[in-house]
Amino acid sequence: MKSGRKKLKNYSFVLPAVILLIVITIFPLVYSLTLSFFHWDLRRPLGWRFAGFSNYAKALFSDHRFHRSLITTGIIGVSAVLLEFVLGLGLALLLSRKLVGKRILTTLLVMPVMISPVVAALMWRMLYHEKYGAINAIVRLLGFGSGPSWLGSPNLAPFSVVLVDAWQWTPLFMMILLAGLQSIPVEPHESALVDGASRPQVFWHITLPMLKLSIIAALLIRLVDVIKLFDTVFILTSGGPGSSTETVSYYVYLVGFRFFRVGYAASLSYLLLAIVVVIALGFLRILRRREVG
Amino acid sequence: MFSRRALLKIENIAVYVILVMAVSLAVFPIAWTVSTSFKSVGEYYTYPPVWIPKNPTIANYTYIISTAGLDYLRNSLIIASLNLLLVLGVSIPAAYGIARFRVGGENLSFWILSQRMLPPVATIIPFFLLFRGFQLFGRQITLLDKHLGLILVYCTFNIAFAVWLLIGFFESFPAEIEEAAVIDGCSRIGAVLRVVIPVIAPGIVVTGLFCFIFSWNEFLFALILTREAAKTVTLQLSQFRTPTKILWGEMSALSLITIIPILVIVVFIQRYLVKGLAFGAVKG
Repeated sequence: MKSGRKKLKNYSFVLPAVILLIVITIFPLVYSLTLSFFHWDLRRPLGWRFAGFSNYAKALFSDHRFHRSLITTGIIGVSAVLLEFVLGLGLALLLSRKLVGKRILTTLLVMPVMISPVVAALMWRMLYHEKYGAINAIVRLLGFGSGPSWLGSPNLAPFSVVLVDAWQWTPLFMMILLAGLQSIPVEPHESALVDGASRPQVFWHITLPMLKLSIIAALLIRLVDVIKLFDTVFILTSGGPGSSTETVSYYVYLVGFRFFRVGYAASLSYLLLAIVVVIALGFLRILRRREVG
Repeated sequence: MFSRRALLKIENIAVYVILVMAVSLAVFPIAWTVSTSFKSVGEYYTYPPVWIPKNPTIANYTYIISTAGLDYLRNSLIIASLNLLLVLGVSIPAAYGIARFRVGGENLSFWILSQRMLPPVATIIPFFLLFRGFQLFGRQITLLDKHLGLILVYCTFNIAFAVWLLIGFFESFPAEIEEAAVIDGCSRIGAVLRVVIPVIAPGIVVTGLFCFIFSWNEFLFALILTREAAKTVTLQLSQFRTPTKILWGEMSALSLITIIPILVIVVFIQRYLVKGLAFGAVKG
């Protein structure tokens, strides 16, 4: 009896947080799931009309704009994360050496991470401006002609979005991998070098395998985030030109809040949620393995 | 051939050159914004662009202060601060319960963490529809364009984050010391308040600062759920345009006002950045 009461008492610690989370996430998600099986156009007075699976069927089989937004998200997301990983790993390796002024260098390098993505995108929108922007001014100074239209060309715009994302999030990879590098013992490196291994060999066969967990964790954290890419696209390109930078989040926003087809938008958001869940589960499994190990 | 020492020296110089280039890239957009914020309209719409304003002006800053700029900063401040208090209020006991008594086992803590991954577009549609008006105990309640609306909504990502980070801090506090306090006649709550909380206070402050930054920087929810009365600074930043042009100078000035407090905070919490942003997935 006493242990039962004690257990109840322990549960009361988590109760406020759990109740609040149920009200603000579970309840809206259930509402949205219900809505995803209905047609509801906010501009029309018809209200809810039962749709069965037709919203999902439309999204999966006939909405090419949705499919293209998935591909765009994939291309922008994967290129950005890979670029951030490579640059971040490089910087982490450089910073793991003994350097004078390392602290100040690191502080300056991590600044972009905490800036609002809206502010970051606005800054870059100024820099990208075809005529008045700093980037094309540099291009002209170097003598490469008048410089491209960074945000106005459908081929270049996705790349410009990737660059902004990389500017903001490369330091995150750098920090995570630097922390990983600093927790690796130095002895295996030294003995391998004494045994005549070259430095690239040590890097591939000792450093990289030991960093594996940090690398996977960083990749998954960023992948989950980049799938939700919205702010940068909203500010930089509004999904354009054409729909060349239209990500899934941006498309769901358009369907729900520009076209006001909230039932259909709810079903799209559930498909996005499914993708995030798959990636997040991978992430949680790795975390869990770490907790056990 | 170079001697080994000379090679090492060359290598070190190369490392510094690369790092200084990387720092320049990281800082350049911020520096450009600083420069633009002191330019007059004539100077930020010139071809070729001016690097450093020839006639620096503080007109953009006075414009922000004389228009509603400060109101939006105040809205962001109110929303981020009250959200942080609410989040810490429920997260500190939750994290303590999970860290000390393993309440709910692994499933509960992972369920809480998973809230952090939720795509905002998945909850924004129901939030918008509900906030337009709903009945509660017979009263019509509207949360659209209200501070309270965003204060609640920002809990969706901040509670998960705060609980997760705080669990780590509570676990780092040895349970024996707490037990000793209880044996010495402290109540459980008394032991937590007088012994545990003071020791992990820095961790609580760091957690709170992170939550503040996340709310301060948020955009999508503010875009959909606020209009004018509760409009946040990030939303205002996205709206600095007249039908014909963007007000770059004014926008730059407000951007800087927005990021300066954040950059100051970052210097203080830098030691915890990895832990905070990587959910403790990696030892920082």
